[in-house]
Amino acid sequence: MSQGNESMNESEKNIGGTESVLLNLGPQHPSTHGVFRLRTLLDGEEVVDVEPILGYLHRGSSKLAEERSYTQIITLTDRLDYLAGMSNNLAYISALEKLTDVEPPERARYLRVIMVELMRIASHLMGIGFLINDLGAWITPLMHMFREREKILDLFEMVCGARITFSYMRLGGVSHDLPEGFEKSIAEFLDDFEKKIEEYENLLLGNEIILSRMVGVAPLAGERAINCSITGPNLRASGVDWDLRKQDPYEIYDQLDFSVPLGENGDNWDRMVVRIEEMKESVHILRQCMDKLPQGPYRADTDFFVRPPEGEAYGMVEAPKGELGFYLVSDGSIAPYRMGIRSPSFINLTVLRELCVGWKLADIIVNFGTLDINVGEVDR
Amino acid sequence: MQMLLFNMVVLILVTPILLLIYANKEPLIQYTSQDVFNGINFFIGLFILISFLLFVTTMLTYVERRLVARMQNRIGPNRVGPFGVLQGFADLIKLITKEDLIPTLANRNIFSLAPILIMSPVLLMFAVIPILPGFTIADLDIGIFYVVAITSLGSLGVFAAGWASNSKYSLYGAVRGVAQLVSYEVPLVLSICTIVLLSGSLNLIEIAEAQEIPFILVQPVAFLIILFSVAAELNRTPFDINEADSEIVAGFHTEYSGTKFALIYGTEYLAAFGWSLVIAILFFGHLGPGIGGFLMLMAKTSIILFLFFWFRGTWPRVRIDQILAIAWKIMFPLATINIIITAGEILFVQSIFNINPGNALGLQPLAIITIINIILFAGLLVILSFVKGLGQFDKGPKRYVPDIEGVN
Amino acid sequence: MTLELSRQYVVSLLTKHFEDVIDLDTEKHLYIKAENLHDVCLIFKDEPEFKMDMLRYLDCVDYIDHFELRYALLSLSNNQSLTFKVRLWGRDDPEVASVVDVWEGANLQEREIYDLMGIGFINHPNMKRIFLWEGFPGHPLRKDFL
Repeated sequence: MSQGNESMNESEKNIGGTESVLLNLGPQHPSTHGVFRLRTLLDGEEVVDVEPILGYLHRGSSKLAEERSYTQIITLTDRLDYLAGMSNNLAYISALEKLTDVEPPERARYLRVIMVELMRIASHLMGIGFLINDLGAWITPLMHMFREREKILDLFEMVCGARITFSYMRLGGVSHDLPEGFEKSIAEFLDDFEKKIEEYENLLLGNEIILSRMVGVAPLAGERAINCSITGPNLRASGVDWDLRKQDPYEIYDQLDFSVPLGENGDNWDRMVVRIEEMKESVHILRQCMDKLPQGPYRADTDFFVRPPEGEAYGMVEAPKGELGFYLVSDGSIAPYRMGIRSPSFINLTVLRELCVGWKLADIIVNFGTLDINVGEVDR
Repeated sequence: MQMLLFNMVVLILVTPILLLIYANKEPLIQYTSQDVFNGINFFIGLFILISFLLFVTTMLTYVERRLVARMQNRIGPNRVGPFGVLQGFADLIKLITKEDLIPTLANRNIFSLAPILIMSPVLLMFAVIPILPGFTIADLDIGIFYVVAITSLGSLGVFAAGWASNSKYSLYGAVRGVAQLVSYEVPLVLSICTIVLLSGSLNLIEIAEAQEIPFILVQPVAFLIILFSVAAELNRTPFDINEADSEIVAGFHTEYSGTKFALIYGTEYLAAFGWSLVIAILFFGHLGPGIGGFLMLMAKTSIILFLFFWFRGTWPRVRIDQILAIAWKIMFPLATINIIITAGEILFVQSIFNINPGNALGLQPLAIITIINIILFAGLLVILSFVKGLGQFDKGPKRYVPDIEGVN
Repeated sequence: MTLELSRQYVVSLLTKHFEDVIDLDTEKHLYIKAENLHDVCLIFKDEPEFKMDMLRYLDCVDYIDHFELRYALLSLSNNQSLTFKVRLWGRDDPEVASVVDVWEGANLQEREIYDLMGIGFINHPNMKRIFLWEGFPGHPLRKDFL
């Protein structure tokens, strides 16, 4: 990464009379969460240098978007962070609504927040599950997390028929209203999930091995995190109180009562605990939303082919992985002139090198896991 | 298939030949000749034993997958045969009919030799273990010493496999494996010494018969140290760093496939079975007579095996520096202190009950030692519960109270 | 709510430090001259009125005759944001100063723009392509790439 080349060549020569080993973690590797390559230089077990090499999943979403109508682009956004499709939808739609000045009805805003918070729980579950899996606990925690995620995906299937690629958000609302029985299902899920979170906390937070592997490992100072444009749980784990839902509320977050869990040192432990606490807050938010959910239309009346006026807009949401933003430039036609994507996973990778250097080979995997990136979003 | 035949021939030929060399030409090791050790009976016994071991190995892969699947909210293999019991055999057939791949840059000879080097010591280990009451291939007087010595040869095979594969992942796995095996031999042997002190013999049968009180009660600390040392020796979670799949793919056997992989993979389970047997014999009381004794021994063994499977299903993995720290900073001192205390206790009871050195301790002396040791063990647990984290784990868990509201 | 600093306010503060940094006189957006980019960024980061401690997002748009870089800045301590643009003329080898030494977060984003838009960043520590391989013909996000 920074000074990648020079330091690699320099350190390849000699370290204390031994020769360093260049090890490629990936592109095919059990713990790289997709097709991702880490070019690591190791001195024995110690990490001398790390360089992420990206692009194995590059699909050119921005370029594809320039040839699609605004409605068609929604399906492209599903496929960015495929563990959090709803958040991607909402980020794109919020940019589009800023561009077109369409106001969604109140019920649609609530529905959006419900879906996005469910998605946050699902994404954090996957993040923690894969993290503990990479720690070596075979796949037991992962399967337990999958069990809860399946229930969330069932809820999504009830609402919009899809489980991964939802395309649920539309300009001025959402594609479907809640089906019959959804309130009951989600209440059951939330009751059950609160108990399950307690179970996970008992299993994970007291485990001596997990503690010894994560507490104090790879700390990231708050100022450093800000300078590196880190967002999301990773930033909050460093003790920086920054959550777009609080600081720059969108949709109906200003009417909801929730708190933002913060870490202290920004080490791996904090990054994991912040995610667990965030899931609890999400449950809290979901309960409020289901209580307050107003009646009314779920979608504003808009044209099928959206033709926004010339101009540009940047819409962002607090996605599970960080601040996900879409930058739309319109030239007045039915397709955007340019769609830029601020993907949190990609920008969070900026600190990967400094998190890993000086720690052990086994720590790379954990640091990588706690950063919780998604390769679909990194490469776009 | 060639490799399979080759391996089979080597395994079936080398094992008895080595044993016969021991039996006939080695004057230093005294063995007591038995009926089964004569002529054709010997080979029939060997054939039955190896068949039994291969059957157990194949079944254990199935048992572990089923057990861990239950821990993971899954069903596990249930398609081949009733309840999927034949899954292990299906896997075995699939593996041995696969193409035998050797990487271009690998050292072909050592690469092919390594699985045999890994498997042979584990098979040889069963020569002294009394699986059936009164039935051992070689009733060595130095039985437990032989087990420790012969299994430590396995690290040679691990290193050979890692080096010959000419892959960085394999080399990392091999180097880690050797460092770990060498470290954990020490507390393992020291703890076994306490058992030897108590029983006054190195012979496994005699150790078992000396247990008027099961040694797990007499020596709980030694039991725990041996359990974890063996987990490290077997590369099982939480000490499976030399085949850590999330870090170095599969460690020393990354490049292996087909029959050779089947040998390495099977050896893990065979070694787990063997060591569980040894632990069961060392700690779980008398070997009963007849078929009932055999079943009791298997039941005791499966308790230990279940512990290993349980670890695998629940615990994450510790880092290499922590593994070595646990071995040298915690388990080695603990084992040393334990052996000194045990020796002192034995001298004490010998002087009280007028037992000659070398004679087995009776029930009453053992009971006194048991009471003292259990009190000491409880004290150790109390001390450990106050120590917040061992070795590097000096920071306790932190919990966060969510921050105040209305940040704006 | 995050306060979006208005153009007039920023310009009035900037004129204290620089005489002539405004590139294009429009009401809509703030355009900074490319040669002043690095100095202006330092001002934005350090001056207490701005205190823009995070480079939120860096993007580039190809307008055929020129490229437009859009720097979105964010101040976490003051909870305010600021967006400015830089225009680069010419299609062959447009170059602009890197801001990695100001905000490390620009590192990967500048590499992405170099890869996909073909804009060089002077003094970037590791100016290599990031998604595509070295030697890939052209820059995919340009409008003339088909």
